[in-house]
Amino acid sequence: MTANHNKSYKFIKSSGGISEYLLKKNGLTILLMEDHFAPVVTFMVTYRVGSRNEAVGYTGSTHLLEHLMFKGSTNFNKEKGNPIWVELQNIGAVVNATTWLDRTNYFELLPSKHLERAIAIEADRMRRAFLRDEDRQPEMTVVRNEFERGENDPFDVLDKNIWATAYQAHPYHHSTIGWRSDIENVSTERLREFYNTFYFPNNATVTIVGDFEVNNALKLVLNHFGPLSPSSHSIPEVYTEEPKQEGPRRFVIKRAGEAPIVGIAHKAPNGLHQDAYALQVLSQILGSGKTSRFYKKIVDKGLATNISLWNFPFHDNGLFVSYIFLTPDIPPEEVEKIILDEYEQIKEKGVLEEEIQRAKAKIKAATAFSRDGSYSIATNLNEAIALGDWTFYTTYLRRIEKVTKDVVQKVAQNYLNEDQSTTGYFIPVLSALPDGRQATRQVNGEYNRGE
Amino acid sequence: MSKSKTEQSAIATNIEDGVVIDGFRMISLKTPIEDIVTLQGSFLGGEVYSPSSNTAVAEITAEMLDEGTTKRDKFVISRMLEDVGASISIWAGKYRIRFKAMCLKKDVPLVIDILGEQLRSPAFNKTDLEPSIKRRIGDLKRSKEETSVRAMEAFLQELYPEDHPNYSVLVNKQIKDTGKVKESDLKKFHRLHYGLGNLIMVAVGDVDRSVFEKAIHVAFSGWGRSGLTIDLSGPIKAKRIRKPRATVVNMRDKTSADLVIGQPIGIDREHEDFLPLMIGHYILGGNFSARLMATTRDEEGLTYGIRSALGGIENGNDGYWYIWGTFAPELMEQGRESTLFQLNKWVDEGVTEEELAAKKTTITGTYQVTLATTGGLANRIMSIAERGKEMSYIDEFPQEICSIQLRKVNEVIRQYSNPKKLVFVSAGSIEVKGNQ
Repeated sequence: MTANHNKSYKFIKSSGGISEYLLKKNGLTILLMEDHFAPVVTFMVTYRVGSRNEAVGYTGSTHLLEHLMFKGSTNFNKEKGNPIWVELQNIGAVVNATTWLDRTNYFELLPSKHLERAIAIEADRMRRAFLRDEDRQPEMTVVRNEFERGENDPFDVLDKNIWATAYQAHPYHHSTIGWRSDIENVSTERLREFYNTFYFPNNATVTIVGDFEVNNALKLVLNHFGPLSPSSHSIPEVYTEEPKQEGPRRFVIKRAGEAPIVGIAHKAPNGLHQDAYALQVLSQILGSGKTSRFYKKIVDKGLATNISLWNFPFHDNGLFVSYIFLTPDIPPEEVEKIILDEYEQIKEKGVLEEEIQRAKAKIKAATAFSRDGSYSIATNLNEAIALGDWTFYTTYLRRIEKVTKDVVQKVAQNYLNEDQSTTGYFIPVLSALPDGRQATRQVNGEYNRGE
Repeated sequence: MSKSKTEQSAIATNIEDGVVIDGFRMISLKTPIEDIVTLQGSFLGGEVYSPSSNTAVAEITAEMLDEGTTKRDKFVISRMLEDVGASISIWAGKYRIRFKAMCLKKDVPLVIDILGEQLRSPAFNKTDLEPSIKRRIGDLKRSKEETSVRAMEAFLQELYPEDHPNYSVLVNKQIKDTGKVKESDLKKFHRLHYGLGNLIMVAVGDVDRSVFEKAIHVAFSGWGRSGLTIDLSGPIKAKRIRKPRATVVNMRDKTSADLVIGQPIGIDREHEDFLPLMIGHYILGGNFSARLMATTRDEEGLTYGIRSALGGIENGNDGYWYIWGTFAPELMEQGRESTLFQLNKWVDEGVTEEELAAKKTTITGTYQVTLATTGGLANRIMSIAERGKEMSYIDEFPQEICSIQLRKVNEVIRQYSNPKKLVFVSAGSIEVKGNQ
């Protein structure tokens, strides 16, 4: 950093080709990674707020607020003729935002010559978003339709219930989309309060990856984000902890559908915990590829169409989940027993060294592919920021390399216990599509304009 | 400011394109990314070539390529790939068998070797076929739960006769046909249709072409030839829509319903009217700032998503335009009215010069963005190759978009859209009103 604006920043550290700076005036964190492969850049703002910061009555607020953030801000809005979507999409930007348990992110993947426009828009809406009630009302039904689309899918419903059953006190209990009645009834004032609590530069990280030059990027960030003040309050911490689970939990969901799904979850440590890496290796051994234990014992036998092991690292303690999509007419109990027997086998006898090495090779290749394109890098950093340490992304492979078969056996013994488990079945009770073609009814002429 | 490497020269000039062995074309592009290679390829042998007696044969033949060869057990092959973190997937598309692979640079010879063996010498064991059939039937049955799949299936059945490539085979027929497939069907299909001739492979990333060529020679030399061609001489036409038709696919326990509205257009993607019509639909419903999302979603709050686009336009087929959106069942009526209002306005009044200019920038900018990964580049190169275009088209496409005139766009909108003869399909837990 050599330009005049260098006094405004404090260099924090570098790791894996990524450099971290702090904008001293307001506490904004900046991550930069130059890559001139293509004339394209990804600009992303990650707010350290997600659905874990919600509670009953305003579940889904982080996500609803994310939608309202596209409805305009002081300098970018319909009235001025430059609404956010139009300003960005008209220059060819891929633009969107996502909300999850631990974070909310807004991003633009765009031709690099337009980087400043993305920076200007994100800076403007960080503290100057409109958040009007007349915008919330139509957006509520939009979000409700997003919720309804999710509810259409039996897996989505099973997954929500797994988390809601496994976590009772901790806010991971509710999904990011929230409960329907909260989506419908949360007030604009509550959303604004949420915004005025969490949307500040000192609770955000700006990530720029791709075709840019560091000094110029820092100058642009300073020009647009520099005038924003930090919060006058400290950002609230989530202090709710999940009480110890003292026995297995089970549930069944019955509705129209075609084939059962089984979900078996066990409490898992937070993503930065040292045991989390061994659990990542274990999930590869159990469920990744044809060589995996569950593929051979379940899918290859025609008992299931697919298996999915879910072990995403989160800020707080999470879940290690095996989802099995059964072929029709296979009893869920039969497959549940295979899963649990395999867990016991690993707890007793451990895994093979060749399984460990194969898992590491797959993770290594996946990590290499995660560097294909600026958006992919930025989105991986986004999840690491949510965990509380962006270097999780750059040091991940090194930590995976240290995992041994003894450690994998130990984490299986520590976490895959019945008393820490939550098991859910989706059971189809009627066909979703009664009698196929017979369900289709012709309504000739009904929709004809002018007739 | 340092210049990006791809900005310094056109992409096409860096592409190497040539026949490695007779009937095997390989196109490669070395990019600055280190160590990784994205590979994809295709050849004729997809769904449309299934025998008339069983619509599932082409797809299951492709699925079984991953279930072991005459030389090696499926788990031996999987272990070889997974030990180095590589993957190969093979599936049947509408016309072409498609494959994709991802691997580190050092593992290219291994991946090509296994790919060649899987394509040339599949085992088609009965013991592997039975669970494959169970899994496929399970997937097909599970697809009955999906409102979007059911809506599009009914829509295509309304538009096309059964022998048209764009027709969607009924899910119950697919299940029945899948249950009847025998290993002898697969062996016969493979023997008759798989081989060199129209095979294209694209490799992008940290590519050393000489390594590829050597590996291809070893793995594919001596493979027989495929006699398959695409018949462009007299394609079967879409049904003639004489009056509006509305179909309701009633499903249980669905909180969101899908609506599809559209018509056949009678042209394919190589027709001179295609790009003007495509950009017209982009203005109507191509992205978030397009008319339908700006009104039906953003202003009226009726849907999470609604879009407008063209489909079924490959290989000389007379395609269709469609609008697709999701609505709560109780908002379906309002959603349909809102959609029709925008559709009619679009047809009656056309689009503006300002809208056209904005979408030209959107499409060309997005195009540039999609070329920023090895996967995006490989997709584009493969599409150009399959369409029989010169590789220079990868650089010329933006100019082609920019040359489209407003008068032409509005002319084709009116020519290919008749709001008095629309096909409507909705799928979900919907109360049917009116003339049942």
